[in-house]
Amino acid sequence: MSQRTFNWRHMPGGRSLMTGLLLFLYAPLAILVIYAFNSSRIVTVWGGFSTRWFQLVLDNPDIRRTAYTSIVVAIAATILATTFAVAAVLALERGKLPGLRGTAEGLIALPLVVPEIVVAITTLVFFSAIGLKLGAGNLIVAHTVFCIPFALLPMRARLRDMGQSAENAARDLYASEWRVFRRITFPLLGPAIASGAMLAFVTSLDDFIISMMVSDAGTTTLPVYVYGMMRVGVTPEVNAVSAILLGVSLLLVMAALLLTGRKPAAH
Amino acid sequence: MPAVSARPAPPSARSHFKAPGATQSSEPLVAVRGVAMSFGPVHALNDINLDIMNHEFLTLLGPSGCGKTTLLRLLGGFEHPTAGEIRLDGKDVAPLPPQQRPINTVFQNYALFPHMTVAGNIAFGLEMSGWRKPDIAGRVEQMLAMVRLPDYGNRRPDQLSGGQQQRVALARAMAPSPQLLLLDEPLSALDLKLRKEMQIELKRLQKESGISFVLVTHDQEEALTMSDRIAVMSAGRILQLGAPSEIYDRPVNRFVAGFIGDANIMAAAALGRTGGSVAVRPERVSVVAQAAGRQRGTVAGLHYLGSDTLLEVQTAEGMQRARVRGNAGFAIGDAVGLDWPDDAEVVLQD
Amino acid sequence: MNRLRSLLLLAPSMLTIGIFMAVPMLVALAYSFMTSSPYGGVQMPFSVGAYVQMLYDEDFDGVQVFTPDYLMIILRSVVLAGLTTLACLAVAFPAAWFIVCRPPRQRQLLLFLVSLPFWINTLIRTYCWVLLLRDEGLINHLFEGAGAIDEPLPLLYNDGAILLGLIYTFLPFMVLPIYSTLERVDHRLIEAAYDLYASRRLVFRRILWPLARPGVAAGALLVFAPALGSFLAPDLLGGGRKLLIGSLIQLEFTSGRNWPFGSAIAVLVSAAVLIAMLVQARRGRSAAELAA
Repeated sequence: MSQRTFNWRHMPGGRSLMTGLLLFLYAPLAILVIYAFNSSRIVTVWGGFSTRWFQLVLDNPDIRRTAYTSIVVAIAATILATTFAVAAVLALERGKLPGLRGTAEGLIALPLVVPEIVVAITTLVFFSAIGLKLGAGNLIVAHTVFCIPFALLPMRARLRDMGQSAENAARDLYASEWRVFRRITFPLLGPAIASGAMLAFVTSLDDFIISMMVSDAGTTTLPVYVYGMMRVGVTPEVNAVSAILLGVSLLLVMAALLLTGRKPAAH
Repeated sequence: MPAVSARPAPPSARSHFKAPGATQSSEPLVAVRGVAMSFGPVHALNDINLDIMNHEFLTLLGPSGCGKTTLLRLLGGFEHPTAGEIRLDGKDVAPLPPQQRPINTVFQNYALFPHMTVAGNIAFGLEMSGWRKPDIAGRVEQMLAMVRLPDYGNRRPDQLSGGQQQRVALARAMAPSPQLLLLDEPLSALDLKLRKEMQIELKRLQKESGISFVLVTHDQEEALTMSDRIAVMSAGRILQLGAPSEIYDRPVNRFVAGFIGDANIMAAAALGRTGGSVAVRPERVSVVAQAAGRQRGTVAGLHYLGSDTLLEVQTAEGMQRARVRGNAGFAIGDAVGLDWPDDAEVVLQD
Repeated sequence: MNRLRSLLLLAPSMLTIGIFMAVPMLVALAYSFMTSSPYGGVQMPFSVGAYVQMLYDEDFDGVQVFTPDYLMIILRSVVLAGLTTLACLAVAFPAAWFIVCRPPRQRQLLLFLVSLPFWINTLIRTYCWVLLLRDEGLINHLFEGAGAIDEPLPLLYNDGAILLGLIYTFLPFMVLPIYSTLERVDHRLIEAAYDLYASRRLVFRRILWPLARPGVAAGALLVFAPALGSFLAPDLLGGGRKLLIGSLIQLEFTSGRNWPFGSAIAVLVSAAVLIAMLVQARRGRSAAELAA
């Protein structure tokens, strides 16, 4: 006698749906990585395991140069965006903004909602209108804009989760506002700041469309260069450089999520 | 630095606590005068007048939403009243932030700093009020001993049980020797047994330190056990203020009579008295022959409570309750009379 | 914290985004009412020509003739973005509910796995499908190897490939907000519904769906808006042969050199997205908040 016990959490077909979804999400990435290690010049024919395309890619001076631009831009944009975001999140979550909160939140969410291509062309138009020609500086400004909301996300979640009780307790124990920030808010926010910075870094590193429109010949970023390679055709080099970018993004995001995800299960 | 003088000074003497006012003056420690608080259109507090005396254990008791927590937050400086004064040592502290009041709080969920050790938590208020390093270490030891957690200095808050966190929160708030300690439902997160233990513990700490405690609770039993005085609050007002026995024996109105303990409420006229209504505690009611009773009726319900039995008796004045010793041998439908001594009757204002 | 200090703290972010994003969008709005200059860029006088151009073309005699070309591009983009949204919803809702029903540990892991692709370069994620779908790609290769086909199937460079790419890119955007609303549903509500004789279907229709609607709305906006203006999927998977809004905008600002017209389309897309966002913000939590 096998009477099915009642369990509303049981979902018929749920397991296969989830398996299918994860396969859909990850199989294409896995295939890219496998191809990248294929020694054959013909991408689809397996010629044995090899790292020679990686070597080739790392020796390519254009890739080195554009990667350097990407990293410099990402570091600068991350520092700016994270600093701005820390300040903004304190104002949004702990400050008094009568009548201004809605506007502030809307403005900061803008880069998340407006389609990237629109951001890209309006930025391009604006830079040329005001004659801003700072080379990589143009890229840094454009990247800072869309990195701010990403840097802000984990910090905001953290400040909401932790509530104000620890900060109020510190005030009660005679800490000045600066010391409340220095001794309580900042240390408790620390992991979220690190994680926000990493997300900003990844977002900047990954950006393609905005960089494509804003960068010029001297300040091409790596994704823009790789896009150019892709337009020419599917080659082992493209696979290898894509696999590298994929790996870097994965590492950074895992680090970011581990930093904030490590909260004790509170019930 | 502004108003440093309001902070408790680092001790020069090695006493457990600052000697609390050698001369026993009748001046209140804190005088709340005409305080009102509204959040937009909502009036959380109306015209509150309250004296908090030196060395007393005062409880703010009331149902949720009665304004007791708001009053506590006003005393702590986390909110500022829309009207009125809060005088401490004759000075109005109502507009001052929490940093500038010699008043500390034990928060409802303790609010221990999760990134500091137990010792770090206790030392925090001392560091902020300018104690010297060597003094701090000694004081932390002293406080840990006081709350009976002597070897816990290096633990993190999340390694402690609820009761232990509670003790650390107490030690942290008491370490800078505040003039007044505020406790916001401090025992609500603990289970029943631990709560009973902590009630005794709290009372002991208050007596030993001589600090005035203001406790907020909705638990009437907790209030009766621990307090020197109770302020019963409802809808943003203090309805009655007095010693526990006074509140219990002579409630001023229906709300107080009903909120603290159980009460039979009857129209004063039916008992040949003037005034609105009269309250009689069920345990003061005795069940007698129908003819001999001040009120007559039939038994409508019987609730066995272990040592006592609670009888519900349907009378002309409505359902009345009598609490009698043991299992009194009544049955539903019995015709009975209810009697009580004259002094059991309390005339209520409304 | 007082008001002045709050404003000072907010200023760097507000100014950066305001000057380098809100103002440029206003500039684009102004450009859309100007005339294209022969050297690229724009010139006076003001005109609504750019908007008229979307529907009418000037023939040799200077007569305005209705041309559906651009309208078709916009329609095709809207349809593709709409289909993407529906497909994502169809997969994301059950997937999100499945995750909610897992034990907490597994829940964390699954959520992590579903959200991870969000952070991987869209360029590379789109390129993966080129590897799979092209004539010499893995799928055709496998079919040929199995002898199922002689000629490679034309999998790449069509609307189906674009749709697949869009779903692949934006699926996580739909799962996360739906998950965060479903997670907050009190489990006792579901048990109460079953207790009151509801069937599985009715529990979904009467309890889960209404409670999850804010998440669905947020997810729909987060998928539809970027899908509408997407550039990479149409470019790499559609071969850029048939234009969509995104590639059309890009074209007008690069080789097309018709800035007013490009601006006009960008204005239309942004207006549609911003209106949707405002409507939603009025009805509850903002999309960005739910995505967090």
